[in-house]
Amino acid sequence: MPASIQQRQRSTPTDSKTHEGKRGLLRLRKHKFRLRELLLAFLIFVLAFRASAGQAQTIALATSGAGITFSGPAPAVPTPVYHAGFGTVNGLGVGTPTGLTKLVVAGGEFYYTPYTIALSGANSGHPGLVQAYISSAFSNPSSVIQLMSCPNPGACNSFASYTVLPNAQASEITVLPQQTANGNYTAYLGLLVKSVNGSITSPDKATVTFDVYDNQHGTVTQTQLTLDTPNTTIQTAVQLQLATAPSGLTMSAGGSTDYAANFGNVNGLGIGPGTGLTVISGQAPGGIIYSTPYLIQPAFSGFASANNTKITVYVSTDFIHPTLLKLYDSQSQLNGYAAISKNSGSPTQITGSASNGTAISEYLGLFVSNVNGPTSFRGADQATLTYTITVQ
Amino acid sequence: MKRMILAIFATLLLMASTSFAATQATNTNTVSPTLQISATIVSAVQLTLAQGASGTACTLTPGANPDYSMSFGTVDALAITAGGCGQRYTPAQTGADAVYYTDYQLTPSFASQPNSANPQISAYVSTVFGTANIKVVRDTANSAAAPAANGFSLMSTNNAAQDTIATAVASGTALTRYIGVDIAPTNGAGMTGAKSATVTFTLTVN
Repeated sequence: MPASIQQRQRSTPTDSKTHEGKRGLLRLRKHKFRLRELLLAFLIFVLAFRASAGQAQTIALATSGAGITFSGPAPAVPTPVYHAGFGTVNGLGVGTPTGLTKLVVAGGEFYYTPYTIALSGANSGHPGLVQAYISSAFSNPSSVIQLMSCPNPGACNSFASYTVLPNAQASEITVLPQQTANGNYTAYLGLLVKSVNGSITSPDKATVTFDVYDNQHGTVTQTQLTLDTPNTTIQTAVQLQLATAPSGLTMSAGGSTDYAANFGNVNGLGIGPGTGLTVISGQAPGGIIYSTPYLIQPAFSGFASANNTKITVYVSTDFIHPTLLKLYDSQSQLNGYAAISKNSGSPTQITGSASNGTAISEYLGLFVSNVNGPTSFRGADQATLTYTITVQ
Repeated sequence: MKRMILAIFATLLLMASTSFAATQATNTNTVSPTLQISATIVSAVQLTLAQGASGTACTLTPGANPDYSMSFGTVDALAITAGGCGQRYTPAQTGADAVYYTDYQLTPSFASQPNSANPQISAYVSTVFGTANIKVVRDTANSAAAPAANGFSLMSTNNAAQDTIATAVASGTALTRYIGVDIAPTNGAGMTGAKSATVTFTLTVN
């Protein structure tokens, strides 16, 4: 650029010399010459100023490590537009999306990815600062999804390090603090997907605009990132978990079934109940019930309608000694016990209006017969309960 | 045509629900986790004592050691004193010593016993009174009927030869029996004052 300016400075006097010594149109040409001279001087001034300011700082966006893939710019001018995308996500964090890391956060799931900001044109005399805002928001409101940013060089593995990207340039936030050297800088982009149901637009896309400032010379350049490759697709997700209740029998996850609960040694008289068990008499003839509280934790997200979500349970594999051991369900500890259905076609209903994220306190009862003699049994036995949540 | 088939197949793949464990899934509205319940049945036996139902029965107080306690209160060898509870027979009625007695209840329970044809309850005095003028007696007939004045026997003090209190007992059915103290008209030093003994009951299911 400076070489080009010098060339223009040299050529102008040469042009003026070709018109010397001519009359008639001389005055007019002289005026014209002066006008050209003034225009040339102005051009030289502008170019000289630009030269003194140096080349404006710009950024390119690129994939970082195992993060989501960035492509572009397309188009490259007038404003370079890069493309990337969060793809398929859900409010429960079910599944393993490519290029994204998940965090369970209050009210939803947080997906985040690193990306590279390649800064050029910066030096000690021309430091560069990068800020960003959402120039084209998702169709979904912030109660469904929210774009968030963690600036370089933050500890971006923590949700607390992220800030909501604003929707206006006036309130844009820094993604790369002022730098005096060119280089590749890593920042993070996050998407908070709320665990909500109702009206949800999917797929969805948004555009983030990055402003690169040279505050010493008052210049700014822009780069955009459109999150449309792929679009953000909010899928439905459903989850049903069991958990140990305070003072209840331990519900262990894993094993050949999803959960396991071991009542330990039991007897038909209810002598010496194990930790977390309470002996309930009078609820089932011919024996006693060992009862434990436990938690049923339903969660569902992305559904248009979910007000009549039901949870059922049935005995999918019965005890080998089904007359001596039976499973009961109740919503209170001391009474209301009913034998759990052994029919998958007509399971025992626990609730017909489960709420997303609201745990249900339930009581599981193990009936132990007090029968004696040849039909009695001493030893270990097992049964399996199958719980089903149906979002509707 | 081939492209169309591939496209349809790809669409079906995208639309299919995905399960990541039985506890969670996407692109579906239902999931069915399982819970395995384990238990080990062991045999059990239990014998509890309770206050009798006569209305005058002495109170049986559960404790830690011993398991129960009962007090006849103040008694004497002539049965002059009414005692704290229960009934009494005078020496004239028994033809020997004074007897203070009370009804009480025994409730045997047992479960998951392989053999239960003849469960029985026995008892003996495992700790005798400190003086010879007072002894533990029981109803000789081992029945729920109140014993006559001569219907008492001294309770065995031999662990190896316990008295049978009940036979062929049913699990969960309370039995009424009688227990008392025999006060002999013995005079001499140390014959008065608070005395205590311990009776051990045993339920055997076989």
